[in-house]
Amino acid sequence: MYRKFIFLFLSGIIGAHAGEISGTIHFASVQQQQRPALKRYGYHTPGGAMTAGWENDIRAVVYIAENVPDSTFRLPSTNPILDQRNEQFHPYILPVLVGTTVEFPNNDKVFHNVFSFSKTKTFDLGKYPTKTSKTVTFDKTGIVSVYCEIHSHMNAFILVLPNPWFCQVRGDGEFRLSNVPAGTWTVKAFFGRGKQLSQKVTLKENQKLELNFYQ
Amino acid sequence: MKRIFVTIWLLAGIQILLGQMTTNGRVEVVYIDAQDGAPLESSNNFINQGNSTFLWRFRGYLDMQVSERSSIFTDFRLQPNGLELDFAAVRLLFNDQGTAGIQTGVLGTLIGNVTARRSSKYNPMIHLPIMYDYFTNVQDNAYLDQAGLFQNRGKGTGLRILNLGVYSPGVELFFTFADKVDLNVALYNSSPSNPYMVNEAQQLNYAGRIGFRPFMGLNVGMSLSHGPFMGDHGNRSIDLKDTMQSMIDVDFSFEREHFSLFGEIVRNSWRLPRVKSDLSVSGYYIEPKYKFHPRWYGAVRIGQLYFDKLGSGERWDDDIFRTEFSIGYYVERETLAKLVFQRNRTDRIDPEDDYVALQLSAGF
Repeated sequence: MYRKFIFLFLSGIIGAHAGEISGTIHFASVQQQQRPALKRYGYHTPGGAMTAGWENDIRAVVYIAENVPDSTFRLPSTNPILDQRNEQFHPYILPVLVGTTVEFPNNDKVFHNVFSFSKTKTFDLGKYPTKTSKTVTFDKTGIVSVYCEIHSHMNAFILVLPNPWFCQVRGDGEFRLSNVPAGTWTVKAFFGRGKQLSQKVTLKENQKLELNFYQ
Repeated sequence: MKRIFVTIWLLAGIQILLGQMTTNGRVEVVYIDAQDGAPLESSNNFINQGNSTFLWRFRGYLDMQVSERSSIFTDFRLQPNGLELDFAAVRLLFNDQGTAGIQTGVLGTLIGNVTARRSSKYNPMIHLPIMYDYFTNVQDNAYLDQAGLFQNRGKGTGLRILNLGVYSPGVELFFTFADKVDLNVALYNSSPSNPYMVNEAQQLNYAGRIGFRPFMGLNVGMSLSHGPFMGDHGNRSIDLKDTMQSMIDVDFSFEREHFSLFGEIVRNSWRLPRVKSDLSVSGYYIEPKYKFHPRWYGAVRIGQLYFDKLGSGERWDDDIFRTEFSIGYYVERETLAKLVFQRNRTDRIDPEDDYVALQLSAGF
């Protein structure tokens, strides 16, 4: 939904001269998120079984790293969501445009305490019950590592980016950055836990560029 | 106990191959600056006999999910005086939801609300609440009489009420109903105050807890425990069935946003063959904590023990009032530094056992 919005929005402002960068990430490892920890003592609280479908979670983000001087981008009309379900964050990696407000709903049966000590954004949302949500606005570009204070295995990344040319990549590895202006760009693939690949490309007007990343 | 430990580590080795094992641990280093403990320096309650010191501990966890419904857990401490096994159990679930099950092995106590947060990551102080930490003058000694008790008042020569959350061999059944009511029942081979005893009394310790969660964040529970608390040390002339420990405990916790509140009230009695009256003690602790910054928290814990009077009109041990203050700082996600002040006062003499301590706790 959020991605669609970005595409539509960019179509409006960039126009027909913009190009496209697409390709495939060839993933080396399968699992990104840690399994929920076994409950040694607090076994009365509902468990966090790794639910089916996690394989289809976001496994990477491809984005253009450059800041575009003197340009302003419209923020999404609905806040992107970093969900808490089955003692996991969903998605594993959430890319947002700088200035975006992110929702952190608790859709689990247990408390979570979402926090980050990242330099890009330090916050602590405290404990709040099921079906309630809190928000954080990310006003600086960079990587934000998000954790839960109660469940050590819970970890996600928010990628705060200077422009809206980014997309999330699922298990099939396919990605597409549309409406990218002509120019020389650094295209990066972010996999979480500090892993990042980068390629320099030059995109001409209306060009469709193919790119592959090997993790 | 050693056999259980070895067996579990062997199973762990097998499970490594199967990739089902998770390991983690925590290193704790404490620097303690204690007051001079001149009047009672032989007491177990003295952190240190008047000198500053370093203490260290490594806590290791090794857990395995053998199948969807069966798991194996271990939790051990390595510290200057040796290796202690705190938890080594096999757990079987009766259903996929995990709302009913059984576990056996060396278990943590089901009494109260401290067992799950003994780790320095969750304990805002350095020591555990007073009923888990403070040594009374009741000993694992069937010959102890009233004169001996009075002689040792305030000296901390005996047992704790709930020894550090108890590590006892036993079997425990657990149930959860409608996500709101918890029920645990257990049979242990030892007692909450003396988990390392060799029980030859042919009688087990019974324990149970019923807990209620009216809404997320609030937990209230009541626990009961009854059973012998002495090993016979090879002396067959004493009937160990006359050396009982009985306990009732009410625990509560409330957590919301950046605030948490934990507390317990306990009533405990020991029966000794050579003391006419039961040795009863009541106590409580209350522990509010507030996280006022993503990296900083402040916490206070207040705890008291009130010892009953015996026939002579005197209390069998000195009432104790303990207050603790703590400031914690998260150096990073799993590394926590704490500055703790603990103050102890009794109604009879000043134990001069206050301390200021700095703890660094790092986990992986």
